[in-house]
Amino acid sequence: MEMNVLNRIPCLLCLLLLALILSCDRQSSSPSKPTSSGPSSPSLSKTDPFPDRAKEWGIHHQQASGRKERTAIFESLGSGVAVFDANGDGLLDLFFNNAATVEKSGDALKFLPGPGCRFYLQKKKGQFVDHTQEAGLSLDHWGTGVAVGDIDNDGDADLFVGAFGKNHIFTNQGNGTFKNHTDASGLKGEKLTSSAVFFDYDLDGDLDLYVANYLKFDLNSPPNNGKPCLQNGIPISCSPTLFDPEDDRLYRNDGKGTFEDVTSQAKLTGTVGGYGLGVVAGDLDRDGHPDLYVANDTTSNFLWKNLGDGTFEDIALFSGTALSESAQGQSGMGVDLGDLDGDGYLDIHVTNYAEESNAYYKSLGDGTFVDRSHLSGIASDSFPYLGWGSRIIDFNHDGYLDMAVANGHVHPRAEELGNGSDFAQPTQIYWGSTGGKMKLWKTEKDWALTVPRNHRALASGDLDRDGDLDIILTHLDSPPVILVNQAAEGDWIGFKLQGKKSNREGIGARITLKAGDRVWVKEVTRGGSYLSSNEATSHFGLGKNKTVLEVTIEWPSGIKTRLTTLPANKVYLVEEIKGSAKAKELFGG
Amino acid sequence: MIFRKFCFIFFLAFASENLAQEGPEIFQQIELMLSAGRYREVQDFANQKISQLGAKAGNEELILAWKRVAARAYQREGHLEKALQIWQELAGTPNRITHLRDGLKLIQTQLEMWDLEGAKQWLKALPKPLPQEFKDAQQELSALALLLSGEQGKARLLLNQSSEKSFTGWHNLGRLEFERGDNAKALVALKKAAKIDPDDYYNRLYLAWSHLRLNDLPQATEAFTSLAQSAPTAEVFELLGRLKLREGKFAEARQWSLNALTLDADLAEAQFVLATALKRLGKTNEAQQAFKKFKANHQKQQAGLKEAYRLNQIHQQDPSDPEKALVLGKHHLSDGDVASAERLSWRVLRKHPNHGQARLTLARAYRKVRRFSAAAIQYQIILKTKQGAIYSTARKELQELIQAHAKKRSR
Repeated sequence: MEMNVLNRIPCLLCLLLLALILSCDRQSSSPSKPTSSGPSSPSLSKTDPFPDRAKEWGIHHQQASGRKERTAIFESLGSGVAVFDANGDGLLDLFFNNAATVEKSGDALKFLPGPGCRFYLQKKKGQFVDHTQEAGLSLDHWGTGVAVGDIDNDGDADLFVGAFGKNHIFTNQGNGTFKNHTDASGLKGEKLTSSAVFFDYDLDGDLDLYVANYLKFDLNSPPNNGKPCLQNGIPISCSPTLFDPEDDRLYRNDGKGTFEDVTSQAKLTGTVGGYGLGVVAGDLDRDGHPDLYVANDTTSNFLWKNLGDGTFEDIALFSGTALSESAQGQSGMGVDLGDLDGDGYLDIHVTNYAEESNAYYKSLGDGTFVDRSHLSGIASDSFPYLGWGSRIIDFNHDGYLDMAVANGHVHPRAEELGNGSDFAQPTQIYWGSTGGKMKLWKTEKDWALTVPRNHRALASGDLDRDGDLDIILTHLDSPPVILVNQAAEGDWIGFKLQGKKSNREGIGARITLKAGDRVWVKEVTRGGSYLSSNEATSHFGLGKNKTVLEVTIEWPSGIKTRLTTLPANKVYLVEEIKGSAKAKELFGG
Repeated sequence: MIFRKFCFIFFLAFASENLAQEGPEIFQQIELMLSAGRYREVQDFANQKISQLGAKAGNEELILAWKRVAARAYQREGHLEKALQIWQELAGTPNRITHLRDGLKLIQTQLEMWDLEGAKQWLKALPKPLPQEFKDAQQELSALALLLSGEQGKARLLLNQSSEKSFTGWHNLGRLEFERGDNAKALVALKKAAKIDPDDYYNRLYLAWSHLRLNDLPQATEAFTSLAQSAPTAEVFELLGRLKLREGKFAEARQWSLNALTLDADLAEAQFVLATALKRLGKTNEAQQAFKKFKANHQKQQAGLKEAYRLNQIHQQDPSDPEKALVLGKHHLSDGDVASAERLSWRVLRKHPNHGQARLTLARAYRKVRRFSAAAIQYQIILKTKQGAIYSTARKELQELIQAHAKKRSR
């Protein structure tokens, strides 16, 4: 053989991998922008099935996330959005966290004021008014994630506002105005927080708080002696690997909205890696105790199994949810849970970096999972894109859960990095079908979904109260996007829970629903996705079922509530009552 | 891979054409000697011929032919600097190319020495339009230069225009598409390459792997099973294990991963497949042990990557500093990224040919990928030019190499 060339064969692979992993840590993808038609794509092919109504509805503030060149890693994170009814008028309002700007001061970095957070009150359907100041939510900080939960069980939704710096807690006064509860809340430390989630880990009837933190970034001493890292000679933000990870925190609620840091007591420490970006809570092994799943950037993800005694154990590796199928740690960004294959157990969807497939971990019901990323059909179509926010929702009401993914690269000069990838990327919807099969929706060029943007957070809620779930997206620089769902064609049903012994919003309750010959299972949550908080109402697409035969709600307290024969296409309010109960119609029909 | 088809076809024609005057037996003999690894004998023979012919007028063409033979022998032995010197003498300069074929061979050698700037300069200087017979070679070399520079987008465009006969072009395109995750396109390109050379191991491997990624399990099974029979490597066994996991055949997955680990006990991916298979077989304790083993290996890999990134940034901020390049190169070598170690050593040696540590790193890199003669050359250069500790180290390692080689032969 000429020149020992076989020895060189791995060199190309090594080089490509090297280019991908090391010198080009944040290497752009080379997206072929794959498209495929969905199995149940709505017939509205001519008109945009998810038009952007943000501007028309009065949502137009500027979002900020640092300098255009984004050579500090936190400038690529973006900020989140919360979807909740702040004043109890039945309409959903929106809180947008917002980052700021930054400037170089010698080798150090200094924050400059940004445009500030925004709170929009929905006065009437499709009419949002900037109510930030009146609500007491003016915050001009480097905002990141946001979480919503009724922390004092007084019947209204309170806010956790994450930051690179001091995190805040605002308690709702019941009328859509808020009191800054931060100093009395017990929250400590000024870290680089990403996402957070409220859940009742100790089942004592109040909501506790898990805060995912990203990494230790010292503004006075940025990495690489204050210089940007380089890829092919192009300045880029340095990879997380140049930083130490920042530990996440668990705060226990004393029932009155005051929190105690119980991270060490809960044994949520001692793991390697852990650049936390996305977090979701859910009872993944169905032992009655809510677990946590954390999507970590560049390292193994965490699956914190709740042992039921106030402590947790990371079982991600054994459970099959830590790594990719090829045993690689990926760059987890967003995460959501949903019973994608209809077997009654919650599966996990994680969005990852470009040139890493998004992950679909199918639950086997015993707390272990199998990687179905390839088998489900999401692997190839997600590979070229860098995914962030993600929601598992039945958008078209055909009875099968779909996936929405917000994409966007981290490097503004991605196009110059060698692969022909773009900084701005489209939002994707994967349509679900039998057995958890997913298929990317072939969207038209002029649809709002297709428009490439620097997406980050993705949240959901029925903003126009037409029974289907709309999508709210944040970006790095431009105003938010509200994609109003006009693609739903089937029947649906929704449940808003009101806990008594359990936490007020019934977070963590499991709803099992029977209609026709199908059974659906869902856990009540506001968390999931990336930096965001979603409407707490549990929403089910029913296909062609006009009536739900039976609903069982298993509350975190252990109480079971049973409902029978409910007409579809309505949202019902259900109270925590043992045995048979009647549901109150809220809207719809 | 990139070089192989190109070099083989190219040199075969080259040698026969120029040595015809010496008789076909000599050509055949030289080919046999080269195939047998008797590079030094060919070099000596060629050099002897060159001195003999040099005394007589009218032998210029024959002298050139024998110089080419010598260059080939040096190149195959791994004495790239010597080969490059001859190709440079034969090819001229980018401004005045005297022999186009030699120019292409020069570019190839430059690429093998990771001299991307030099190769690009020559590629740019090639006459336009290039005679048809050189077009494939030029395109393949251009694509390779782009690939090695990390310009995958441009390389892809070029590789898509590969001729129907270019195994290298289609194979490399397939590999590129595979890395980009476009498995359907990878499959198309690799299939085209397979039509040209159905036996190539890496082409078969990536073809099978593309089927696996596309979830085409029957095709993947067929391709991997056939590959495992003809090329039973750890990576093929590990991928078969992964395939069996997907199929839900956990006992088979366990067996394939064990087969892989027999060949390479540190193959983390195989440890992961084994642990997963054991878990799915209900062997919880064994699975936990296997995961523990995998985790330790995985964490070591992660730490290595982290350090490589840090050192790479230090190097990139000051790429002309040989010591920073070499620190990174040595790290890559210890981490198993031999190609990068090789690249960085050559980078230093281009400007500092007497840099002993760079030579030593290069020798060790070649040794790691079993390019023993190339490693020996580097050790020998150190022994000729250096003294002190590095001399002793090179001598010791060269002796080990020779002893290992001798043992292998005696077996």
